[in-house]
Amino acid sequence: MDFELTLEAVDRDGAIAEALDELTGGTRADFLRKAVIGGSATAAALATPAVARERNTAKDIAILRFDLGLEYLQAAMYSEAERLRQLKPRTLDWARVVGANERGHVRAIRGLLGRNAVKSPTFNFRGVTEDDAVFTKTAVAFEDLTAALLKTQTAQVDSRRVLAALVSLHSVEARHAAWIRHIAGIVPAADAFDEPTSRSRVARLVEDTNFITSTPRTKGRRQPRYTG
Amino acid sequence: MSDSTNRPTTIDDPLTPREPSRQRAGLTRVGLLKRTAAAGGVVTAGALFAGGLSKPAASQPSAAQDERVVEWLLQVEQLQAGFYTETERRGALRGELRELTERVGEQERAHVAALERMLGAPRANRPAFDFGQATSDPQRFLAAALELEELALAAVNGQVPNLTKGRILTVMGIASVEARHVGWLRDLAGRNPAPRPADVPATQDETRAAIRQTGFTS
Repeated sequence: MDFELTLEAVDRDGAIAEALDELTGGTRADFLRKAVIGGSATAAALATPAVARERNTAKDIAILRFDLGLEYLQAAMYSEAERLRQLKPRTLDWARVVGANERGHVRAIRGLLGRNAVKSPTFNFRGVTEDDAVFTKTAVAFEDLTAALLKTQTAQVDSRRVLAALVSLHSVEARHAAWIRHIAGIVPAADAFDEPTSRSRVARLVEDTNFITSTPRTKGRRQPRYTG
Repeated sequence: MSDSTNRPTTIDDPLTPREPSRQRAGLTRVGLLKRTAAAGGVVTAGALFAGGLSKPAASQPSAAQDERVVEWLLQVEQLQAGFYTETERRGALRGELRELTERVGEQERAHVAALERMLGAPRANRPAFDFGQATSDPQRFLAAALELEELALAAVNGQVPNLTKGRILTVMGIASVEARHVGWLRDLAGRNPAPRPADVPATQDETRAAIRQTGFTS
């Protein structure tokens, strides 16, 4: 018995291969072998309307919305740090790259949610984005926390499509965590296995920061645009 | 930021005090990685990036499939564990590279042990590898370690959707640590640790091809 699931087996009418060719200007094989794939292209692929076409279960919507809130928070914090330019060069470099990735995650998750996406709350980072030591400490906490949360969420979602997307975002959060830890001079990979964490714990920790200053109303039908 | 950003490398940065590594994997001469029959179901990157598994997957998660996936990931972890264990034994690296070797090696050996436990028993046959100078020359070590960590991360990510819910958390706990290794190594090498917002998973065939290309399993 052959258990290998090839692209051909999944993509009987060639639509997937065609969409990838469109995105990458090459064959799928090239896409996978390319050393550097444009970040925006990857995020756009995740946010492609084809992804949003499938209807999400109520549970998946709740999970994705919570994750979206955390991605909004990170994207806003790192983008502000990049704008203010008060951090040390290596930290600022981190904020620039990781901020772009988190904005990509926001787009990707909004794409998965489709019209169930929620608007970003507003934030006040209370000076954290201008103080290198405090920023670094906060970033370590957020990145470790997000990687831990995504494990829990990935194991919970109903849709394998959403599951596969979260897997691809999860390991990027772990890369971010290792990188900021390395900058901070703490061990990037402290344990052999990373533990998951619960949504309620994350919610509590985020609330403790007092970074969120308002939660938007969600009754409007028009999709608000994220402008981090 | 591009991959070629000029950031000073920090190979000699001291980190926190390291713990001595205790284990040494006994590697014997059996080319296990060449025995490529143990096939796990695979979700392609194409399926992920162009709309997910909108068509029925050929293989839904099951206990039997879990076992095939774990057997496959065990081979990938054995390759990594073998690499760091040999590097540590040769003792040619200094500074942070040495610390990384000891810490990461211990973690890869723990991954091997955990996957073996999932299968119910240690595997009698341990694969043999030929790493050449990659386990003694600092630059070659760094390049090889990066390549092995990247391919391991993509391999593990590629298998998570094929697992039953009960296995997902454990295997993601491993994926997360592999991603940390990648981030650490890339920063050491002066390369962007996270050049993309989403990691591209690899199928079993793609990982096998990448492993063959390293030349470590000949």
